[in-house]
Amino acid sequence: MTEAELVAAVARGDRQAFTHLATAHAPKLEAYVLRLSGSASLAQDVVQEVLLKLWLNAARFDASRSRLTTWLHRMAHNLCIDVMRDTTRRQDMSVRLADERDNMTHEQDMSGTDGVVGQALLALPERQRSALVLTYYQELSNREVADVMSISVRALESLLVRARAALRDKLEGSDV
Amino acid sequence: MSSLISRRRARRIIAAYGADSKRWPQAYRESMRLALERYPELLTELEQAASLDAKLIVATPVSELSIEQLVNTVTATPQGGAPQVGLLEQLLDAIQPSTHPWWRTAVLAAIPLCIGLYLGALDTSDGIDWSSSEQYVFAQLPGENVDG
Repeated sequence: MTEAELVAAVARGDRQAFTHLATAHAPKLEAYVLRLSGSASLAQDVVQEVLLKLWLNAARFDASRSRLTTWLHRMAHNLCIDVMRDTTRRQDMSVRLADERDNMTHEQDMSGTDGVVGQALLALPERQRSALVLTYYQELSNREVADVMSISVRALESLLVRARAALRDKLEGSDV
Repeated sequence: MSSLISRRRARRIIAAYGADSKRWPQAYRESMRLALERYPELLTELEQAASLDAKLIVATPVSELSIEQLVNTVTATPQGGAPQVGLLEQLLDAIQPSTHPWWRTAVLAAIPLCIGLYLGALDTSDGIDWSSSEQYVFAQLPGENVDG
């Protein structure tokens, strides 16, 4: 059964097809949001929201326009960016402190093998981080990444050049 | 595409995508191979990019998801309700299936313009008569000789 057939089955309410797609895509989407936001709880919330959209709107997926992974990444990206920008705007200290506490577990996790790289990634501006993570870790083509981020391939390349230059500066001299 | 690309373009591809040819845009892979043969100085940049690539190879974060629990939660929501998209988004999808985001913005911007044109076309009144003010502006002043 192809992925497009599985999505069509989900649109008809096929729970087994949905489980198949969730198993294939959820961990990858979780890793993306985790690397983008640094928050494990946000990653889980976003993945659940994306899967809910897939369950409810599967009939709207057009396999001739994009791969399923691109469609799901675009939804995850938009949700994550919305939450991150909203959090930045909020000045409520209690919420910020709660978020910080929430992130502690993850930051401790990231202090292991990929701690230095993880922190360097999180220090990048949001758009540069998105471009780099989607290109390097999510195995999407440059056109797919540009599609997810709603930018041109040329703009994506500019973001990648700046992101790599910034990372090189940050990681220079580290033991990574 | 296997034509030779400029040194500048090759340099930019390495700076953006790194040293691993698998990450280079498909259309440029062969051209990049030719460019690296022709411009050996690019090899130094390739080595530097490879060094950064090696630093970026990190373990995938450990998943904390329970797929079974997720599936149970999500599928508890009945399908067939109102789709989670706005009416405007559905309209945009229906009238132009292009994937270019700028085109969506252009269509969106055209909607109020079309409404304005439509409302303008509906207005059948005679409009304001400008002739009286025109007569005032070009009227001959007392004592003025039009013949110069």
